[in-house]
Amino acid sequence: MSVRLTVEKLGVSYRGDGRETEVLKDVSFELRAGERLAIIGESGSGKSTLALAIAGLLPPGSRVDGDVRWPELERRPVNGRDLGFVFQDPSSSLNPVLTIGEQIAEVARAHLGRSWREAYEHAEMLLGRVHLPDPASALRAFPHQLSGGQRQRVAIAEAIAARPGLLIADEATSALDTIVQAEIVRLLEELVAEDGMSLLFISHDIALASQIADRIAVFRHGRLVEIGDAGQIVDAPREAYTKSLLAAHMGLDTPSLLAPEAVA
Amino acid sequence: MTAPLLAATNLRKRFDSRGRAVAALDDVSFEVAPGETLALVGPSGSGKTTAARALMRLTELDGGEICFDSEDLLALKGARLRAVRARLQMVFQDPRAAFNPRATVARVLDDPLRIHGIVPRAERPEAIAQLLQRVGLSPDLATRAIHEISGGQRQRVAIARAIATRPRLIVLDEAVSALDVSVRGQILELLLDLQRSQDIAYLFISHDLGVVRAIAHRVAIMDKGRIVETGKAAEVIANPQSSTGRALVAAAPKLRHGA
Ligand SMILES: Nc1ncnc2c1ncn2[C@@H]1O[C@H](COP(=O)(O)OP(=O)(O)OP(=O)(O)O)[C@@H](O)[C@H]1O
Ligand SMILES: Nc1ncnc2c1ncn2[C@@H]1O[C@H](COP(=O)(O)OP(=O)(O)OP(=O)(O)O)[C@@H](O)[C@H]1O
Ligand SMILES: [Mg+2]
Ligand SMILES: [Mg+2]
Repeated sequence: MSVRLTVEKLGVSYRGDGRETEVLKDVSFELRAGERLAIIGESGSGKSTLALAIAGLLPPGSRVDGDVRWPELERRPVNGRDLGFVFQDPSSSLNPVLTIGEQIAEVARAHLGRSWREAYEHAEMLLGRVHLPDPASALRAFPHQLSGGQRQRVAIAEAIAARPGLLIADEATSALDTIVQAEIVRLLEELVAEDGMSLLFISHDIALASQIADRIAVFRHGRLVEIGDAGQIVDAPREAYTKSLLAAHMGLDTPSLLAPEAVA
Repeated sequence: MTAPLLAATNLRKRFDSRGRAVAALDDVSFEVAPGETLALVGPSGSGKTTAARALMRLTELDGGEICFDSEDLLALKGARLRAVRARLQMVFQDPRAAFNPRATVARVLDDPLRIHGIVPRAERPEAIAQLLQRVGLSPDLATRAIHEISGGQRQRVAIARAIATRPRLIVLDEAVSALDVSVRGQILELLLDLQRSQDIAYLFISHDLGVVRAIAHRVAIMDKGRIVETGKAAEVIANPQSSTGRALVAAAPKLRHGA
């Protein structure tokens, strides 16, 4: 398998108000073509920053050390075409004043050189692929007319519209119900398998990460503390921090935190 | 049985979406007692956020009644409505959309304290620092703009804002889904602590059945604008009776162990 992405000694600092805050330190890993890597770790540990650094979307003035390389590309990666991005909060990727059809078709037009008509057909196909009910009429809807989960599926359709080599999903399913989440996870697996796409799946949910990923990387305080096969991370974590994440996981067998008489 | 703090009765709301009517709320009724947590779960698009927004008077209902703290919520206007707002707070599903992104964290927390006259001006910086600490954030974040903090930090600011006015009921729409497990545990403990000490009730909307099981007394399952099942949280999750409940439970992510 060829290497799709190499992150080497990556460091990121945000600057503002005359201060500089280092939020990623010395992060190195590789992502192979068709590989699914999950990134887990506590809030503020730098997961989204990593995603933004890979996508070249850090705010102006941020300081970046080290390297992000795309060995298969002989040019700089283009957002939308070489990588697609899905955020937790779909309103940040969808334009509220354009119809769903317009925004997805625009990606297909810009990056795949389709005519508007072809681009709309492509958009309708994609909406079907992300299992949105009634794709034809969804094309004419505006983002606010859809529920949170429906908007997220639209955001995924838009992110994969140009068949990028890398899809970054930043908490993309944490606001979805378990049924849709399981569907989206299957969909992402399907896309990886069929299109040879690589996946960077950022999540707080270690169970979900273990289901979707080949490997899991654990972040804390801006550092990559542990990376390994999903099975190893779940069954034989090396770091105390990873063990604490596993211990704090709330499965369906988690006892109630309420006083016993309150739930009896 | 204590009188309910909140009684929503026969809520109805249709949206005209792309020429088709969608029944987001189709005769929905539920009650929440003081100090109780009712979880609202259900597939995407089942109407949970619409119900929450209706309680907050952010969505105009087609029909139904909402009684909160012995007042007819839908009839309130002006100063009386503002007074109720302090007692009925919401944390939104979409934390980014719930803030002015350029506002600072301090400003976001100062607003409710000032508007509802909770804390005198001179004491507000201290009150803001305390609120941040309660949700596990450093008081240093106060000077940051909302867009300069992480998603989980923003979510905790939203929770701090909601508890600032010492409400009786907080509607939490996916309020902890953006939090990592350690912070989430801490926030859930905070919510339970407030519940025990101040008798706060929660309407807790979440897709995470593990969390629902851990903190909710009762759960109502919605599907297509209707409540299809209600019961004690542990019982419903262990043994769901509706097909929607069974599907939600079956699809919950489970730790996958290695070979
Ligand atoms: N634009 C910015 N300016 C200054 N600091 C920032 C900015 N964006 C993020 N930070 C800080 O950088 C750190 C890492 O943030 P990041 O968003 O990468 O965390 P995260 O791991 O994605 O967290 P979460 O799980 O809460 O989304 C946090 O402490 C955050 O406050
Ligand atoms: N402003 C609106 N205009 C048109 N339709 C809407 C509007 N708001 C919501 N809807 C529709 O009402 C239904 C219920 O939406 P709601 O947001 O309440 O669902 P939800 O249960 O919160 O879903 P999720 O879990 O995805 O957040 C959906 O079919 C949605 O498309
Ligand atoms: Mg993040
Ligand atoms: Mg919702």
